[in-house]
Amino acid sequence: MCVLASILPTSFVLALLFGETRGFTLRELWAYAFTSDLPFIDATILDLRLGRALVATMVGAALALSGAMLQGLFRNPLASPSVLGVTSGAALGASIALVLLGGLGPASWLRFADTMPLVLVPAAAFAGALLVTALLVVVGLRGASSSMLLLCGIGIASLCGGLVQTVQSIVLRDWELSASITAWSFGSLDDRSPVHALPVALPLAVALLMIPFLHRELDLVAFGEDTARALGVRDLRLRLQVVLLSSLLAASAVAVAGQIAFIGLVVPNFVRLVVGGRHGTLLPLSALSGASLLLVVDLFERSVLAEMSLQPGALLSLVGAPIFLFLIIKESRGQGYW
Amino acid sequence: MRVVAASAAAVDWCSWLGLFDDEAGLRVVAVPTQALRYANSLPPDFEARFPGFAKFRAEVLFGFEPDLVICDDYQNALTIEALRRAGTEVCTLEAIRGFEDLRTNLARLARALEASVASQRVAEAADRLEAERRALELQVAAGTESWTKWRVLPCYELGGHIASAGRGSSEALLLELAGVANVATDLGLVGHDKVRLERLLEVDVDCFLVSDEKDIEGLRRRPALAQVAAMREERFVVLDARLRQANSPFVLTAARALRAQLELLANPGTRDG
Repeated sequence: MCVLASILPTSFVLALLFGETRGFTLRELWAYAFTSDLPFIDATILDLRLGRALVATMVGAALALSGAMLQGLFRNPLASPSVLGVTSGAALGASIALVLLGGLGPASWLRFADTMPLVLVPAAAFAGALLVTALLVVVGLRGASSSMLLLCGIGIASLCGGLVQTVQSIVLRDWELSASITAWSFGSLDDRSPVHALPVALPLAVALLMIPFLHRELDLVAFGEDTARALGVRDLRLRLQVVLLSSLLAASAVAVAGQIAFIGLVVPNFVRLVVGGRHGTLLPLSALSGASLLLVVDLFERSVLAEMSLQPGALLSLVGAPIFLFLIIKESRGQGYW
Repeated sequence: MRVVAASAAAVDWCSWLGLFDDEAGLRVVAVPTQALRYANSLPPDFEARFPGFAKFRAEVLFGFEPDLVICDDYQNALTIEALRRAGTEVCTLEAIRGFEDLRTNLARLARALEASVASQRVAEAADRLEAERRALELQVAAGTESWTKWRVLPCYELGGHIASAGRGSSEALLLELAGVANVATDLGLVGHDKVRLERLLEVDVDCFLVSDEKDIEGLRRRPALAQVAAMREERFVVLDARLRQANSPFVLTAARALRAQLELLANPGTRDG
């Protein structure tokens, strides 16, 4: 547990020290943080790395915590924000905004305000994810069981995915616009500033503060909904709280960084393998591990693979999936970890 | 002034303006590695003289300590904003959809370079651009050759389909400058889009504009096209893909090359200047 907790500060510092251009020493990092005694170029490069590292931390933590909560609620290791349709809703919102704006950048029709698309596209992604969340909450309020809620999520995800494909087909003729949508759907941390970390930090803080109020009930749900109810769990309230919190986490993360696959699904499972299924430990450690993993993968991509253009979602899947499969197979030879 | 040409089109513009010359009065300090594949004109010893970069990211670009970054206006807006926040001037170039976009881009470059020694070259370039266009217009107006009546379809493979370039694409401008009719425009295509074979048979094509022999093979593999005039007459014009998709003043070079190729196809053994 201590090892997992110590990886985050270490990887954060490494993310600042190393990158695509020059490396820095700890002394220079100290000067940057406390004395402002660095040349302008070095300070600017560290500014750029700081923004990226902050966003990677928040996004990684948010996605992993969201996945851990959903897996606990649905008692299903396959549950993740993307399965619930939240990320597809965000993708739909972003795609529509990109089409209406004519692209993400100065090429869009908002030439009089170059930065507006940078705000409007994430805002539309967030709105799309919120719409899906609202639908799930309505379904939840009508008393749907967890499995029904999960199935509804899968249905909504398929619908949103189909709509995104429709939008992409319609704008295929416009190369710049198609490239904008495709680039957004890959997910990226490129040139995010500390301001981008804020929209994710807020729901993340709320979710972390809620852990003490949720973890025991999520532990009881692991015994089955009927047992949990018999033991005093107010299942409707729990379902709504978890769906709302995890959706907000995923919505904000996807709005800021696009679709970064793998973290929400795999990190909670990985942490569960290491520390067990108690949510009091599992939830905060999933957040820590998600943040660390995205930081490390991003650092790897920026330093070792500096000449290759590989987005973090793809790299996470390429590197993490074989390790994860190995762990699962190894574990299944003993006894089930879930 | 230290300049980073951050796209293939930016490299083309720098070449066309002569900014890679030692006498240009500024220094191009970095270029994207993809310029090797997509730019139309590269200075000698390009790879050795100009450091390349693979990723359009603020840290990468900022590492070259540029005063000016020239890039396309659809490149990552967050990167452009980060560069501007760091005090670097960024000149964004529009995608070429018509001749007016060339003028717009030249005006933007003139503004970005007005404080540099290269400003004189840019001012002269405006006259050169108009002169090259006028020369082409005169050729087109004087043209009586049979091929000037041909209706040409620029085409390429797109996921198992034939795609073409209609109104609002640089290739449409290329055909317009060369003085030949673009079948894709007649088909109502806007930008790059799939061509429906049924419609193609309806409107017919006199000549296909392709990038290489593979494109020709791809067309020949479609039996439905056997009835098209261009297929029956074996009329294919091959123009290098980078020239076909030139997003810079090299579209004028492409138009001249297309005219020469068409002349050669119509009258084998002759060569148009």
